[in-house]
Amino acid sequence: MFPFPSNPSSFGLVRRRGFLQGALAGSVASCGFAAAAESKKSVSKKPRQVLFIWLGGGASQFETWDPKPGRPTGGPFVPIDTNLPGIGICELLPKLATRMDQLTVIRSLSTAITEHGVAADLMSTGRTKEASLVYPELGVILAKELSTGCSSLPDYVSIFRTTEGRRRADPGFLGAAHLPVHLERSARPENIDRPETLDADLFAARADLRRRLSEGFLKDRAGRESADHYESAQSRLAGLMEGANLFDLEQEPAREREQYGRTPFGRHCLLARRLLEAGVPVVKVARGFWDSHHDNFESHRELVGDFDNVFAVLLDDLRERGLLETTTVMVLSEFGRTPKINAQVGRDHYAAAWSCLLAGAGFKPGAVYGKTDKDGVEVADDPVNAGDLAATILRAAGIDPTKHYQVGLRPVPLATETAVAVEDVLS
Amino acid sequence: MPDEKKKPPTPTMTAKAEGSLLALALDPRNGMTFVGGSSGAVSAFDVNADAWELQSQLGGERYVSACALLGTSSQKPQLVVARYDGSLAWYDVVDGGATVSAKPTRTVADAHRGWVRDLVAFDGDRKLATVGDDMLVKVRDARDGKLLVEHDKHAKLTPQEYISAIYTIAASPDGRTLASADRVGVVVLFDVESKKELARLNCPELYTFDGEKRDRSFGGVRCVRFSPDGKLLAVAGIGQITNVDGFVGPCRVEIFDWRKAKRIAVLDDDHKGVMNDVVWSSDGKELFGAGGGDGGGVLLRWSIDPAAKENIKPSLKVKFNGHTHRLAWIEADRRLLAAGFEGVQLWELSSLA
Repeated sequence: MFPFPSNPSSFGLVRRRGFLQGALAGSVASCGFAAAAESKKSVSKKPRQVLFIWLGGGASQFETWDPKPGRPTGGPFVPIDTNLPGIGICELLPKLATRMDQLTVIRSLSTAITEHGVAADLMSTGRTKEASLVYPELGVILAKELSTGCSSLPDYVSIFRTTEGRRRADPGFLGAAHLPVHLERSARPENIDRPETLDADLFAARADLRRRLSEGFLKDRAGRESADHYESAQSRLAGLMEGANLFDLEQEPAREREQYGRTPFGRHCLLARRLLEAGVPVVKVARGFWDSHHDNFESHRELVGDFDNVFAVLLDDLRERGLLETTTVMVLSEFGRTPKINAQVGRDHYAAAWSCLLAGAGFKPGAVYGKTDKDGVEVADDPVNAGDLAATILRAAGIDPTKHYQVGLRPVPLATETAVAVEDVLS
Repeated sequence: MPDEKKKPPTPTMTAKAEGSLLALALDPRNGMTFVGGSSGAVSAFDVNADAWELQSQLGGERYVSACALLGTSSQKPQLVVARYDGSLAWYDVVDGGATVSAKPTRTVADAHRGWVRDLVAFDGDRKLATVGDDMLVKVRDARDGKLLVEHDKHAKLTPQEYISAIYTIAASPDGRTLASADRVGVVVLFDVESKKELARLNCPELYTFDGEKRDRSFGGVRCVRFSPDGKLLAVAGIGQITNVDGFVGPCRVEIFDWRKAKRIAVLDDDHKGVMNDVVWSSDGKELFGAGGGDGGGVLLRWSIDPAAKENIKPSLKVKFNGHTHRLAWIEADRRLLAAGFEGVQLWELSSLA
């Protein structure tokens, strides 16, 4: 039988322990996840995890973190006070305004690229694309670095349901073994149910046979890498099958589901919390689609309102479960939006001066870094580029951005050589 | 010799303004016109003047969303200004309609919680109806601002549980009925005296929700207008959108026999844009619409025949740079005044036909 309690979230950390004990059959007693699950007191020893929220299409900095009231570029919304003295954010974020002391905002991103695909590559990798080498997405690097290597759960789950703007995380030179589990058609992995015609004993016997045949094949053969990847994939698949209940939000108490709301972003963030709690090192939730060339304010009224509600609930939930102090949270887009409000009441792509949100493990809560000019056209103080941001996120997650991967004869640092982490936002 | 290309039509008159103009009120007696919008300012000009010059009347930080002239048949007309801060303010119109008092004679600071989206004066300018982001329709005494009636018959959330909005309100010519319409394409007809809902019209084509590609909504009813005889209601916006980045769908107006809750015609065009405002000719035989979008600014005219087939194509189409938010019809010499992105334009139909 599957070892999950029917209502995992009510068990808190015990639920994860239950999962791990059952799913891994005691074989991971020395693994980080299992050790971390022992007690809330040992929280400082918990492995770091990452929640990566991607606002596809480019969220407006004016309608979120860097309002410009009374300026021609400011738009119709006004700033509201936050619980950080002197810091105002857009009125569309009333719930996060009361939690600003838990958040970290960079208002001085300057990333130059304003084409969706190229900009998304830049922000996802912290590097400009090179013809000779495909760099892994940041989430892939984080998953590789934060993996304990002994969990039957995936190292990286990426949830992106909408078809527009969907970008599958590229493992680049790290190879297909580091691909995340992509949840695209539904918020549950496909084809993980045991066929009804196959009872559990027969299924287990088949798996055992497959394993023994593999071992026999590999005996006395050199070059095990491909076969190991195959074994690893089989193991992860088995983990997913055993953890199928993780993806069933109906297992969550009605009150929890109600708090997160019924929008897809709410449901995906609730799923992300369940996955993080179960020990998945990196979870990405993508929310499309912020590309508001027309009717920007009506669009942001809808999207930012939903984001405010869901992210505030998620933040509280992570904190109450003791996950926020070990989970590095980053909310990124490919770029921001133009100061100029166009004829169609829209804002176009803009990368010269925009904002992002960070929170959780490794970040200094309540820090607001950088400054744009009075109209939000240029960065006035402390510009941060995509490489700097990647290095900062890696540092926050406890990873040395100067660490190298060896790609053939070439040592490749995790963040680009010129990147400088923003110390002022790191805890 | 190369063929001489036909020049696109141009407006008879224009005047520049900062940002987008969202509010327009025209005094039919003398042509004095007030406009306001994203700059927060209210300006005045004489639509009949040989040259237009927008004279700044009022400042303000918050967007002006709508304005209406009250008592234009009396000696003491007033201008009511609605803003995105939820306020309504009354100003005396002086100097023969050319200016307004510097300070308001009355202010209702919390007319709505959230933006006031639209307002209409009706019942011989004795009443004023507004809609706001608190999803309420409110009727006030137009002179003292006292709240008379309110209703909350529009759903606060869209079917997908996102925030909704009531964008527009209109009053029937007899002053008895209000029509208000929202983001998801629902029009509520409300009897002011009995406080009862008379009809509910559904226009799902005017609301796009794209849950597969982008998980976003777009559109909504941007304008409702009763025909001069009060029998028909024009419901305007944008048809189904293929790319919810923007106004990338066909201009669309639906005509209802609202008492029967029956749609009698669809006025559409393949121009990609939203109809932000429509006006009827006084005989009810023509409907003019204006807006903008992916195809640029557009002005459309449809001939209305209640016995016509379902789909009616425009009898006149003018494309221009810009995006119109408000439209006024000057019956006497068949002119249209359009306010929108970066200014106002005057179009003479005789020069377009």
